[in-house]
Amino acid sequence: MSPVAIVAFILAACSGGPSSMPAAERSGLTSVKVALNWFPEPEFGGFYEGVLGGHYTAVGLDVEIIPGGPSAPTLELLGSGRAQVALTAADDLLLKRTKGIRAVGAWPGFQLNPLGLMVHEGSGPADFAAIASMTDPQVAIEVGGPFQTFLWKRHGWEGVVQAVPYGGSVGPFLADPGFIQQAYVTSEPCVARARGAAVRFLKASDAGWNHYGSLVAFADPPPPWAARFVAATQQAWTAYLEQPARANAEIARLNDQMTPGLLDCVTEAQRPFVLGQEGLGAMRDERWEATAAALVEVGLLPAGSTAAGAWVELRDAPPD
Amino acid sequence: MSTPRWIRWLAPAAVAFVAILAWSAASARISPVLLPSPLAVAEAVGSHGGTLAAATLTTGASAFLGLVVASLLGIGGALVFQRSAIAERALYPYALFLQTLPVVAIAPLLVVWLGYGPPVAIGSAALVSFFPVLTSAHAGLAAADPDQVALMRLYRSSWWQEMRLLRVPGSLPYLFSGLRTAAGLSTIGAIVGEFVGSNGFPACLGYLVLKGMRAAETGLIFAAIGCAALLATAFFISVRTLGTRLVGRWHPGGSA
Repeated sequence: MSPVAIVAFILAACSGGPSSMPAAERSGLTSVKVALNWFPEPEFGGFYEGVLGGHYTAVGLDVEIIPGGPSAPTLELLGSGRAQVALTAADDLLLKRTKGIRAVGAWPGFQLNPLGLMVHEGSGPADFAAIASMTDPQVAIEVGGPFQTFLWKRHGWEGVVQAVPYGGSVGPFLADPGFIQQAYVTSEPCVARARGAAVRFLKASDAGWNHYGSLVAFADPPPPWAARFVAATQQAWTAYLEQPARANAEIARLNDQMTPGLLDCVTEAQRPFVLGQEGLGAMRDERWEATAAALVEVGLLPAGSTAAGAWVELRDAPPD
Repeated sequence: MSTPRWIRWLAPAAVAFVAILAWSAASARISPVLLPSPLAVAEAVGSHGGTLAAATLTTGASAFLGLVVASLLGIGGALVFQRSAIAERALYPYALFLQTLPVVAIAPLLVVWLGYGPPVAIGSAALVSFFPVLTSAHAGLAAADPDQVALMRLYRSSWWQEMRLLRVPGSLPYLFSGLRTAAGLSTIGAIVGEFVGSNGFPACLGYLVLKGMRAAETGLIFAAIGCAALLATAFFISVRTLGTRLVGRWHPGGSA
């Protein structure tokens, strides 16, 4: 690598990627950076559809989507000005708010928590309760994480079910028909199915660990265009659920792990989680308080904590 | 008595041959999603060749820049310690603390400050390679022969003259020993930084390992690990060659 290339590399690295600011200002649109909390995958399909289908520009917003990864501090990026919209999960938002991060949840992409346990269809347990009655049950999971703590506490698994670390690969699952592991419905089950495994997914929501996922969060108080962003997002996700091909092609371009078969599988698998029972984009106080209560139960929030002020309903708000 | 040239080349090649045979035999008995066969890795190299090459360059650039940052800070720090005993006492414990700082814990901070990808990898590489450079340079500067130091001071040499003419040249064998350690560590540091701080743009080896894990493509994981090993080896050889050029002729420690 030549010295010039190295300098160019440093500059590119330090500038934090291309900025759409000048173009946006010329066209009179408000520039909005949306920070995803994972790699480009169908769980963000509606947001990509919003850009590709012109839903955001129609309401005066020039949206740039910034992919995330294993360590995506999206709510923190709101504070630093590197993003104006953060994708997060309801539990994460409540936790970060108690740590002084000023953010509010405004629109859930997932009604049901996409998290759960993955077992083999034939040989695995039928539900959460059946796991404890197995002989020497083991679950590969983020040991010490909130989901593990909750499951063990709620089901009385302490000393009964052994938690072992989950390394992020479905390899051990494929190799062992008795294997039980944590999984996101948007990821591992489809990867395992593509490898010929018959998979049963036990929803975390059925165990009582049900937080809104792919949650749109704004800085607190929300910017004046927040209601417009939410309205356009609702439209864009509706369009994506009907016709996912265009956004999925863009996702495949950005993330070549997403093969056509995998895209189709994930798009189908996530649909009931996106819609839930109350439909796309719905939020209810009881659901938020249940999340707060679950976090209190596992000791992540102090007793008496509530979700008051952590979320805002913008779908019916008059345009600014 | 020197070893014949052909044996020096044949010995590592024979080890590689035996290792690949053993690997093939083992992978025939173990599920390919846990241990890919050498052939599966070769196939992954074939189908992801362009991405692997680009990722190796990105990770290599991050590791190199991290090593440069670590060297500047490490050598600078050692000079400061040599100049002021108070500074040494005040700062050395914290230099030690830096070494123990887990990148995973501060990755979100680096992402917020610097953005995704290369900046986190550079910071992480610098963090892990800083301490070996600092300690080796520090030890090297302190290792000057007391009689020679006394002689220079007798001639009323300045601190800078003492550094330039005596301590710095004498410290080079120590420094290069530390740099060789740091060279390998910087590659690991960059990849760990990419594990936690990359969003896949640009593609880098840490991201490819993660991607291989998520897709259960063990061939890709091993191919990426192979690229990382090549990178670390290239760094090591470069630093060793530089060391031999600078000190090898007058000090046996230069090329060890």
